[in-house]
Amino acid sequence: MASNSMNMQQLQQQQQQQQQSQDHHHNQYQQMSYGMMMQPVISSSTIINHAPNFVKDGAGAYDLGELDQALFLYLDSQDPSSSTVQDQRHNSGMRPPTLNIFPSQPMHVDPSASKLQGSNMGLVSPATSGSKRSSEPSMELSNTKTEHPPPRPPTSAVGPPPPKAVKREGNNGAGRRGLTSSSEHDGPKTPDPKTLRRLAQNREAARKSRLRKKAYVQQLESSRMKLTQLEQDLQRARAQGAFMGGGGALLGAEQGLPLGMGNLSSDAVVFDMDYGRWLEEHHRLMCELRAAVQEHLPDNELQLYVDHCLAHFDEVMNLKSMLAKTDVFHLVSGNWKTPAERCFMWMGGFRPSELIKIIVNQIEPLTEQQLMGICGLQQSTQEAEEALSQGLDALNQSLSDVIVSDSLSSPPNMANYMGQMAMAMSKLSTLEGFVRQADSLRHQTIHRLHQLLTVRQAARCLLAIAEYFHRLRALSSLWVARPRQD
Amino acid sequence: MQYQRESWSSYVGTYESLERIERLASENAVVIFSVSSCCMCHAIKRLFCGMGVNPTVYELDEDPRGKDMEMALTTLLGGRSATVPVVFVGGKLVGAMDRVMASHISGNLVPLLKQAGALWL
Repeated sequence: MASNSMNMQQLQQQQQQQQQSQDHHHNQYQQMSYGMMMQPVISSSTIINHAPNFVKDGAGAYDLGELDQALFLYLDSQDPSSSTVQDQRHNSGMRPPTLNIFPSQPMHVDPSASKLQGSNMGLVSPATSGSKRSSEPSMELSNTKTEHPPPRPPTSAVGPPPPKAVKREGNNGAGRRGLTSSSEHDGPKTPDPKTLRRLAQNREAARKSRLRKKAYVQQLESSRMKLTQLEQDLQRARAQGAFMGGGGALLGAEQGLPLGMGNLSSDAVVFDMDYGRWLEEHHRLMCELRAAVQEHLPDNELQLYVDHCLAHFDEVMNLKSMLAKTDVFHLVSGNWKTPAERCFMWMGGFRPSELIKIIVNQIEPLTEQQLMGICGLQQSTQEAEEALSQGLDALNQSLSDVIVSDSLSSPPNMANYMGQMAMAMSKLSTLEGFVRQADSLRHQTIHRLHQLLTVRQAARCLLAIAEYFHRLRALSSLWVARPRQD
Repeated sequence: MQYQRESWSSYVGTYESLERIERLASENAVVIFSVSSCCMCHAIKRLFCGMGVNPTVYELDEDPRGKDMEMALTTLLGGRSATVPVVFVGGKLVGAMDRVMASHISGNLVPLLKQAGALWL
């Protein structure tokens, strides 16, 4: 590209001028970055733009590491004598047309490794005066332009990637590029041992810095989790202390200590996290399903999407089932749901009969048989819900009877007290059974629906259900963020 | 199997209980074995009553042979932890709460009840 080449020439002049300045090394870095900026490399250019600033993007720490390697590879394989930028910009993406004044090979490179190294003889200078060094690269530039060996085609023709000699060089260098031990021994190829070493050290420092940052972030996150856990343990211990400390205080309403407030067992924390992930995946699956429906895919393909969604639904049922074993109250409290969802919750989840109401408009037209099936399902879910709710009421009543009993009044008769408490505890434990039955009901309702409907109807049905809950969640967000009038 | 580990006498006891259970179950269209203090049993009773069925209920805690019968039922169900409630329709075992609910949701329970003569229309 002509404009590019002109810019390159300007660049080189600029660089020559710059080299005469004091800070030789710094300018070389700048040159490198300039060179890379002009380079139409796709992946590396945007980041190598700020080449001296290796530790730019923490999130892409590894990416930068890889790019670092890529940079190495480039620098190693770079033909130092062929740094005419016009030629190199046509090279493969790994080789930005930077002036390779300081290839990354360490000092002790075998002088016979490449015939091209010979062309750099003039560049090698012992670490002597800076001024002498500063003039060398300019020499190199002119040298390399004029002494350009045949393997590289002249001018702006698209050259093949650097000749094999350079490649070999690159391979040699690649094996050694990790070394920062650029000894004082001047290899025939390297122009500037100090620069080389500094470059390598910079790379190392950058890499270490990235690793440190990553380790630090991980440490922070684990500390945060630990902190949350400790807080909860503390709250729980405090609450338990208050509970045990006054047996009679249970009767007195003045206690007022919200024993259950803010206590999250570790299982609950894990469940909340898992549920959050499940929701994200659910959203993604629903988008896919929606796309599949809109594309009017054939039934057998659509079936795959539907089956996938159903399997995903079973996953959350599993999560809830596991939590029910250890912390059923968290499930029932609904703290893992948004406020609006929580309000209309039933026994740790949605009401199956409500589901039928949601979808009934989405699945028309229905055959006679389907209609009967849906009506039957609506009735049976309502009856089952009613039965379970009444069972729970009976549990509540029974529990109250135990707690209210005279055995618990002061002065507390310890043996009796503990006996009554044990009974109360066993009654409470049956709550898990009810939540389990409720979840089972939800599971069966979904699968029965799937059984009754055609694939397309089932897909629309699933989408409608997802949309309903999505809107409820959105409503919750709006509610929470509503402007208060103070 | 559980009763292989038991002694001969309790094996006989379980066997006798099983016989009794079978007999009782075939006497009525819908038979529920329950425990009076169990809330899940209460739920299942309400389920059938809500459907218009009139089940025959045996409260095992009020029966002198109740313990044995509970063990026998556990065996029948394959060693579940919470035994009751257990439902028989038309003399045949339907199962515990989860099976009954599953059967109802899938639409199988009502035909079964009609077949046994427990439901009209």
